[in-house]
Amino acid sequence: MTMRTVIFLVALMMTAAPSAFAQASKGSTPDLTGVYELVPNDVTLPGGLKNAGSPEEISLLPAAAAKAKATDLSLDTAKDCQIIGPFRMMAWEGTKMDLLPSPNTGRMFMLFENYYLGLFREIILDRPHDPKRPAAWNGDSVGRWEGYTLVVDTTNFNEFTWLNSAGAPHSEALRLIERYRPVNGGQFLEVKVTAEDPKVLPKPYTYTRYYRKVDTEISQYVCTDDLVKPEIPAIQ
Amino acid sequence: MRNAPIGLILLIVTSLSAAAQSGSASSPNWIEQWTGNYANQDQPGREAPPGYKVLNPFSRLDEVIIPLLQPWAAARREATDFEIEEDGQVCRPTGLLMAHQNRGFQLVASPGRITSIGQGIHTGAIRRIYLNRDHLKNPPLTSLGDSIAHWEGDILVVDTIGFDDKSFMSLDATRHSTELHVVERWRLILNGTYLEKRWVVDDPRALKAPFTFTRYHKKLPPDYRENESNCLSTPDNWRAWVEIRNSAVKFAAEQRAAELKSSAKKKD
Repeated sequence: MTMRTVIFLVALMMTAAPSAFAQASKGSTPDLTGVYELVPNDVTLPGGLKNAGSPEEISLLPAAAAKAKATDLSLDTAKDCQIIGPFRMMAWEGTKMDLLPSPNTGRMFMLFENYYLGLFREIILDRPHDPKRPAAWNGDSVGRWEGYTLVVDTTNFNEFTWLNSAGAPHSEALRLIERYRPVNGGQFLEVKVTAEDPKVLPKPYTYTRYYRKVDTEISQYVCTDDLVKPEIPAIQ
Repeated sequence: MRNAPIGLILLIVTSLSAAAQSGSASSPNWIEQWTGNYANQDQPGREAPPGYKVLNPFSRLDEVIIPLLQPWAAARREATDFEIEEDGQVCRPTGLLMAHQNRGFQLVASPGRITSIGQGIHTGAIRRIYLNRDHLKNPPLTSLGDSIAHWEGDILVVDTIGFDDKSFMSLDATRHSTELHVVERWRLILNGTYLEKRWVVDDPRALKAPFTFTRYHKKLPPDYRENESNCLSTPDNWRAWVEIRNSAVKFAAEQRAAELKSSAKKKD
């Protein structure tokens, strides 16, 4: 037996015994597991890839624009460490998140380091929306694979979030379509977010963000500590 | 050399097989059996399964812990203003012992890690347990601490240190120090229908002796979903709360300053 044969046999054995994680990912769909951080807007990635558009740039129908103009911007939930909704969160500067597939329960988790602004998202795969669920800050997300792209469809938002920091409202008809696709060999994640709300937006609006896959752990970040600091005596 | 590689192959096969059987993070067996949804405990009808008994249930844990507190920790408990200092009251993470001993959760596996995702009390809900590393040398002190785990047969042993000192161990303001050390032994029982967690809690600065308790979590159907949970349900509630709380903190600080002034006068 030659060394070449040995190498071949070892390689064959390793191929024949894939990890549980590899087994868990469906056929040809990519494994998105990992920690990702948002690439800043002024950075151009290999291949000329660059963030484009922004929630701050959306146009509003006249009634919605008037409502935004009359809104007290000090009431922005972001200023109170409260959830800002996925449309703003996916473009929020400094966003770091954990993507975590759960094949046993048919869902994908999106865990944000800033839990206060993002909470966490549970994307139910290959199932329809559940009309019985109550409206939620992050809405109700279902997802499916279209080839190499995870398409996430989110509806049923509550009324507490805005579409941007200028107080742009949304209606109960808001629907987000997000497309997640690994690029540059999985080093980056391309995220295209489209908002549809015929009562607020003259036409659907799409922005693009790139996230870099990073080899780091997510820390426990407590946004509210910056708001309310109890002056209690230190423990001895 | 031509025949020697067969020994090499056998060695590699043995090593691969041993690694697979050792129950490492990449073992398909435990991932298929363990990951999924688990119910909360201490709710009516959700006590221990037949043949098992909950040791020191949550509702009676104060009775166990309070006699074990060192004098300073007992005094600290007495002096605690619950409305101001309890983390749940301020929508801060309530700490490992308060957030994870009863509430329902989902276990998700990824390479080198188990993530326990609970609904509810803010960042306390997401707990990451690492299987591929030791404790961090200087972990940032947090309410959940730094958790690592290893397998002892079919038991997952979870070891946690690196806590801050802001959280309670049980409902009645039982305080711990940064030396809190929690060891949990998790195992599936009754053909995988329940997860048993045996907790051992020690804190050489705050406790005269360690204490222990057990919790049982029933496995739920894979498609089970909780509703979204936010600590304060509307922005108005949140802002009203911040205002009330800041007033309370200010008032408490003024009271303490007055007490100090008064005691200083008496000494004079």
